Amino acid sequence: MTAALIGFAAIFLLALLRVPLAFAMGLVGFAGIGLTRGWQPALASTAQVVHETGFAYTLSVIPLFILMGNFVARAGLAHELFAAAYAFIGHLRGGLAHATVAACAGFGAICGSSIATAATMSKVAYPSMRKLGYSDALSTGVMAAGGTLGIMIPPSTIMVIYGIVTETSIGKLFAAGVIPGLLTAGMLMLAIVVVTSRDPEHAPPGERTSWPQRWHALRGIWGVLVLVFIVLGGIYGGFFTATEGAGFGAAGAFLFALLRRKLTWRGLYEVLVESARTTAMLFALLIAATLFANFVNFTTLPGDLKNAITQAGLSPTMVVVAMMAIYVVLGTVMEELTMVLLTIPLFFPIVTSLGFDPVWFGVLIVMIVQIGLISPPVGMNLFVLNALLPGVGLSQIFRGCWPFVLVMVVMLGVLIAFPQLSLWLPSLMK
Amino acid sequence: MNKFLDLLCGLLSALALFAIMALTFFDVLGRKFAAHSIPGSLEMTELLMVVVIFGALPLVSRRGEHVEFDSLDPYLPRWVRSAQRLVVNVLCGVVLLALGWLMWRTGGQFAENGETTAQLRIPKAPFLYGMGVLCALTGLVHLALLRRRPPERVEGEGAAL
Repeated sequence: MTAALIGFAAIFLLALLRVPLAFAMGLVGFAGIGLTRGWQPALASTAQVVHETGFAYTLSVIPLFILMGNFVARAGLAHELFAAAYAFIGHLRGGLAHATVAACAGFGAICGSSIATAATMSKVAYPSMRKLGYSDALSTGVMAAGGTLGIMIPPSTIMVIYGIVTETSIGKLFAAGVIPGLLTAGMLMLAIVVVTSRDPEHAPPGERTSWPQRWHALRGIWGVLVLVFIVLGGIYGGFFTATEGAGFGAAGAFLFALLRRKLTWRGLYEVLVESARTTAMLFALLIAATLFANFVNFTTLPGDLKNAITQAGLSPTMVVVAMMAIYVVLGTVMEELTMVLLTIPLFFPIVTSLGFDPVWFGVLIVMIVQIGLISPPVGMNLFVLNALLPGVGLSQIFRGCWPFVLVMVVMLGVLIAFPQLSLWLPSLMK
Repeated sequence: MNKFLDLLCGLLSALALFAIMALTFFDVLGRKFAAHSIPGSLEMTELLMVVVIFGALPLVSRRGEHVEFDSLDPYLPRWVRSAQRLVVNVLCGVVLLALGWLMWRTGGQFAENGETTAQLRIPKAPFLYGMGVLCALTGLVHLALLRRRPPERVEGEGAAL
């Protein structure tokens, strides 16, 4: 057990030194195996992990979903989504904020990245909110929180990673995210209602749109709907594997951007290279995390932890609640992807041995990541908005996000209390 | 040199990624609607994945896009940050050069055993050599970063979550 704890400590030390986490985890994993089992096995297992992670057909699902999201973002589709949402709910108090959440949910159905969703909204929704006099705190809070819907509503990069690391069905995880994602969107809108009722001046309603105009606005988004229907419907219906669906979706999004004449040769090249870079970054982390997990699994730590929990006599649900509490706290200061990759080798075996469904735990993990992404002081979505909107200070963004952090913590509790919310849809799958 | 690296790695990974997309698309179309898949498409995807990942790795390092814990940056004096940069880049450079050597060595073993893919019988060794070379190249990128600041990163680009 001491060996693994020293390993964790070493990673944190290296991370504090600002060593990229992929190298920190990989190096510690390698050294750990080397010191406990010998250097030849360490070299062999490193070569094997790199080779196996590199040459893996199923893992091509990662770049393909990233590519799909990037093509759709490039096609400028978020504008139409926002316009359509605005046409229907823009006349309510705080209507632009509601429309932003709805557009985020729609965008999340094609894009698997929370940060990309928030970044896209900062270009699409922020200018309109600013024009109508929305306070910066409210508008950035809504965009940051709405952006996180990108990873709960399928497709979702973090679900794919969780699925790969824990060998859980990605298709089932995707299905499990639908209801929690939509519920979270509803909760965010509820929070907007509460926030704007206390400060109506900073969230004036927009103009009412007539029904013919509404139908017209819907026509702008039928392409996305078709794409989402084919890709996600295909995966749920068992017509596609997740990888096939991702490939189909990426190609569809490519054709879509092409037909809308939004794609130049240069643009195509940029989208491809950007997606490839994200892929390389993720795989560096994935390889390093696998290596580190191999080391941890050879130590007694996972077993010791399991025994300690059994002996403490906590009820299974209490164990999960305790884990989630640890995650929420860790998530305020840690980068979420690393947090998940580092803790899964310890937590996942406990959760499954307590008899919980790995799909359900996956949804909880996604919710945790969502919360972590918007909880100060270290929340990537907040930083991204701060970087993209130079006129808005970080302190205002921090102020605006609190109500939504609270709502999401409540949502996490709901998901723990009612596993059916996550598990009903996947149970319908073959 | 930098432009050459960008272009080489960029084109390599971009073409490979586009190929994976096209391959998967036509394979699925063929299989589902014409009962006729592309032979060996799975293997080709696997080989191309290696090209995408390791082709783009030097670019990730050059642009400083790896996930790092950088929240302390504003509070650290300048000299600490220069020292940090030195230590980190030397460490990453050494790790990647070593990994490059390891993958090259593994490639040698594959070549000796004559390992090929199952269906199309494409030799795997060249791809492992390629992994090794690109890892080493990434290591050199880190060593080159010792001499100058990395370019400021645009937040949100290359982000995974």
